[in-house]
Amino acid sequence: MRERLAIAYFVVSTAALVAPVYTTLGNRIEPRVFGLPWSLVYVLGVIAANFAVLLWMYRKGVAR
Amino acid sequence: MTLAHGVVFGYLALVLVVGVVAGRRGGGGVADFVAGDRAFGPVLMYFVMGATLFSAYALLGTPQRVVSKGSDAFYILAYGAVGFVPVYFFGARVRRLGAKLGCVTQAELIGGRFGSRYVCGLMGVATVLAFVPYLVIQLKGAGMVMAAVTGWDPTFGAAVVYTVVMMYVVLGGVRGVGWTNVVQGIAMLIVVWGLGLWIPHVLYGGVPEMFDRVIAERPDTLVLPGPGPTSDGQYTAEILVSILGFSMWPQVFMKCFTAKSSRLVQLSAVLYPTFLFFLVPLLFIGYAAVLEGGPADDTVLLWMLDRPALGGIGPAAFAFVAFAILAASMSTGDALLHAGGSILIRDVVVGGMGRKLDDRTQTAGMRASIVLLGLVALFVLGQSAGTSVVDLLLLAYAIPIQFMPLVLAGLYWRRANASAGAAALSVGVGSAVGLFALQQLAPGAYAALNPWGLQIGAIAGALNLVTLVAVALSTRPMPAAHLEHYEVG
Repeated sequence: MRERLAIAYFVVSTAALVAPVYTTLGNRIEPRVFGLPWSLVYVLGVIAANFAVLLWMYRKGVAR
Repeated sequence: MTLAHGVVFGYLALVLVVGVVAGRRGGGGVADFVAGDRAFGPVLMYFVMGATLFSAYALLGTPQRVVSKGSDAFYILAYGAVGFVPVYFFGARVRRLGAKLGCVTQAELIGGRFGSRYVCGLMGVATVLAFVPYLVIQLKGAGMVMAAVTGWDPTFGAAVVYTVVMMYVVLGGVRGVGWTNVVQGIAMLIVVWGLGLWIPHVLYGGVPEMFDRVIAERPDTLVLPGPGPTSDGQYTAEILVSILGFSMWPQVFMKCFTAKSSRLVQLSAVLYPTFLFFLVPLLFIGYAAVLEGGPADDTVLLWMLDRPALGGIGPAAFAFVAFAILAASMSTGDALLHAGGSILIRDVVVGGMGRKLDDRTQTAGMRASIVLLGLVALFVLGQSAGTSVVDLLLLAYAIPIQFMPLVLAGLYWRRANASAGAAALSVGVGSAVGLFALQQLAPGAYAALNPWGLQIGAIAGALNLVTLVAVALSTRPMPAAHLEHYEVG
């Protein structure tokens, strides 16, 4: 069950990085975070979220 | 001797010593030379997985892409965010099967699962062909640095650097590759972050202030379609196609066999996204180059360091950038040479052609193949002006995508059998090569055949997948005992 949830998360995560989701939610300059444009912050945010999910999977022993 | 000479030659001497000394620790057989006796710990695994993928192309190409295409350059972060995730899912099983079955390469494992010498041999040949242009790009980066530092001819400079690389790969095997990757990874991390923060600080007062200027003067470079321009469809295709092939590169895949445990392979996949943060300062340097009117080619990184506004720190910065580019080139080039030499013997000669070679002969053959591959890449570099190599890279990137259906079906689908594997791989590799040849020789016919301009790797991959499913469903599955042996289903 956890493995399927994780796979579903990464499908959503991939969709978040490409059109039309990225172009709708991420492809803009504002709001800026620490001076960086939103278009970059958005992608870095997805990387950080993926890292957190992978860490959770590792700690829970998903897909061993 | 300038500071740059000292840094570059000192660095080459250091990695040579580290690589050769590291290689003296193992047992010396094939399992040691190719997979480090399956004993790599977390530090080695982290840098081997990360540094292998961060090539001279990434280091030189990322700022260049910002200048030429704006925020399209973020695609490298986007595909990296997901591209390595499959390793988390299949890596533990691959490591376990490798130890159980004695596999040290990707094709050996997949060829064994499909019970097909043909699959093993074809994967090996296709891999080595894909490696050559990828290797030439690394040599080109090293040659460019040596030309800038010493004034030497770039091909001669590349030959000097790659003589060092070949020495530590031949003498040190994967341990030599691994420990030099640690040195190279740390070097890249420090230099790239240092420069990425320093340049915006000196020129504009900081990173936020630099982006204030970009927003005022070149806002088009911060969003798609950008100056390229890049359409939504192109951006999406770049990311999806890159994701498909990313974890399938054999030089990366086979590092799963080097880990001390299955859990360690998964930990490497967990930590991999942290390596992506290497690229962020390169984006900053790219945006500084946008404001300064830098060239939209791969010299832009070195060009930035010549800016008079950077003051007298230029020579030191130049020395350390040269050092970082060499580190990036060598950390990818050594992995390609090592994997290419190993694959040529283990997958093509032993697995594919069925030649019975003892452990010692295989290792000697791998060492000779590494030198041969290095010489071929140097020859291609000397012959090409660069354009043909970039064209060949398009084919190179299409090859690993053809391995994905076989790897995933082989590990997770009980119906996948020898006929399906052989047919799918033949269709995938054959159509990738055929489409590439058509694109080069008859562009008009290629455009008519591919009116939407889809990527060659994606088209061939789709044909590959359809063939695999169709043949598998119309033929008998492999014996249950064989599938259980490979933990399928």
